[in-house]
Amino acid sequence: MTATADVTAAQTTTAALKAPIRRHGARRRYATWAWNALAMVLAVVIGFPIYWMLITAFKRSSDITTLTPQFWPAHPSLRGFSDVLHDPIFIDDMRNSAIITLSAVLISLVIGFFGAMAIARFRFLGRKVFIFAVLIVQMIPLLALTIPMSLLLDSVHLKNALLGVIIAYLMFSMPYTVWTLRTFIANVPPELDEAALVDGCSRWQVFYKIILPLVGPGLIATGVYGWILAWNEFVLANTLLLTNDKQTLMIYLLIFQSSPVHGADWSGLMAAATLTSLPVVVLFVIFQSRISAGLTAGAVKG
Amino acid sequence: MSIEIAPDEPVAERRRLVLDRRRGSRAGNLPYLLILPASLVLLAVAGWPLYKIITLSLQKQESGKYALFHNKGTTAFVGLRNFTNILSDSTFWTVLLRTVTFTAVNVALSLLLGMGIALLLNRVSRWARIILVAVLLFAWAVPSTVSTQIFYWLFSNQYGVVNYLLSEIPGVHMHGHDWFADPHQGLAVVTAVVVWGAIPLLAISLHAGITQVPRDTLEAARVDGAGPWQAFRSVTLPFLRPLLVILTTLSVIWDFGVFNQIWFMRNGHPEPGYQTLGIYMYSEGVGSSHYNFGAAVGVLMMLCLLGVMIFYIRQLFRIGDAA
Repeated sequence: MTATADVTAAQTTTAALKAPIRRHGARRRYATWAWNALAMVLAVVIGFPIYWMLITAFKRSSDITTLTPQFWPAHPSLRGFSDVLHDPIFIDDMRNSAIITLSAVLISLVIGFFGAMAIARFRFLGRKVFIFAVLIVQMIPLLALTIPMSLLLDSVHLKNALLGVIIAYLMFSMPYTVWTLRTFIANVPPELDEAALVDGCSRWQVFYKIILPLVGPGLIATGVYGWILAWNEFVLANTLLLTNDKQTLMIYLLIFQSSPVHGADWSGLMAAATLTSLPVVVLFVIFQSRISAGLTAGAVKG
Repeated sequence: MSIEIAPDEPVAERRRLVLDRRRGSRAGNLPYLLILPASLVLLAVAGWPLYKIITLSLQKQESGKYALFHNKGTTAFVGLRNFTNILSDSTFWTVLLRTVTFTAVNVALSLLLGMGIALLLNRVSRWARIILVAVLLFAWAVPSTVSTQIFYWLFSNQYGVVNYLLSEIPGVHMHGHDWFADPHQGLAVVTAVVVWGAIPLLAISLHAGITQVPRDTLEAARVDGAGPWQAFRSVTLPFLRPLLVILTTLSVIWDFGVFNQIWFMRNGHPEPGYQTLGIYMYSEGVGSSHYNFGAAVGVLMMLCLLGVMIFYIRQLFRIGDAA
């Protein structure tokens, strides 16, 4: 439900890096330096929480419980990371997160591609109804539907099962995928389909010989963002998965934070938090420009 | 001068057939075949729960453990009684007021700071912009659960770095201060997390919008004697309006439904003073297994957002994105 704007905005970062700057005279130059300084202060303030997570993860416990905080780890240590990585529950939960996320994304991509194809390439009775349904489902607060979703999955014996969570995740990953792929497909000129049809291709051949290769980057971008959405999801997983061996990393984090066993093991907690966010942060930063590619018809037009 | 070339019969014939198909006469059911799987999934994962939440909300709330366990929430039909019970309970109104205030504060702060940073990005040198945008991207990518845990640690009463830094200010003594004892202060910390997470999207997309404001219009305004503030108000702002409307709507929907940040900040057990509508629904409905009661609160929650959602979708259709 968070998807559309995230991506339409992601497209714009490339533009953000290219905007020209104007300089007029010395006063202007001093002003620019003042703004630059302000920007650096903001970068430090906004970046500080991430920095603090990282250095806490690398600190010894005795260096964390000091009255004057250390702004640089005096005795760098990997103990936090090794503790977490040697916890079998963490490994289980990481595997669960990966299975759930990957399955939800792949199913959404396959089914979403056909749906997106239909609304990008055909005018048909009920098209607007379908678009409206996709958009409204994307907007419905997931949170509000946790109760019926949990009861329904329970009634088909899919509660506390990874498959149940995968199905539940389609609720947000599928509408998002249809909506985003639609833009990518619409950017492939329809004349290409026509030419292929004239040359004797069947409709299906047009799909996988013409459109599929051309929207390849779009599929990757959509899949990556879907991965991020599903990996970060907490409420549904927390409601549907009940036992340690079935939980996801997000639940692991909450249990770690609130369990008395770990007490105030900030180094371990921040190490777990770092490891949990790594797969999404890395993907997001690598594919950020890819996510933007081709998404020109977004909310950013005047 | 028109020279008639005899068309290559078979090709022309094929083209005509193909074009006929595109217009829908022969392709007929192909689009329906294409949307079939997606429609079935939508019906199963959204239509069915929607139907279920409405029936649940109209059924009697049993409180006995036995009834809860054996009926899975399927009890006698009582009409709107759950709703009248909820709406006549002052707790609900306190929670709703808190949610609305929380949403308003978070949306306003996020948009103001997002717009400020967007304007700043437009003024700074290239290197400064690259650094700030890179930091924003990292902040954007961090999951909300993780960012909450980081802030929970930053604001910890023991060894938290925020208390230390504040105490460095002469005359301020914050050592050992517990930010979470008073829900107002606690929710202020939650607001910090939410705004921190919201700024990157807002700043980066607004900045992209600003770079598309026509240069000559701004130049004309400047020539006509408009100051920077006036140029911003009469040129940039109207230009950004469609984008701002969409970003505001989305922010309202997201901040109204903030869950992870509050849930993690209170270790999965938010005290009454921390309850927003979503937390209230979840604690009652899932935590205490009062499915019918929770379902009714869920329906009310969706009703609160329905107007905003419809407005958003109409906006998408209007700017042609959904056409």
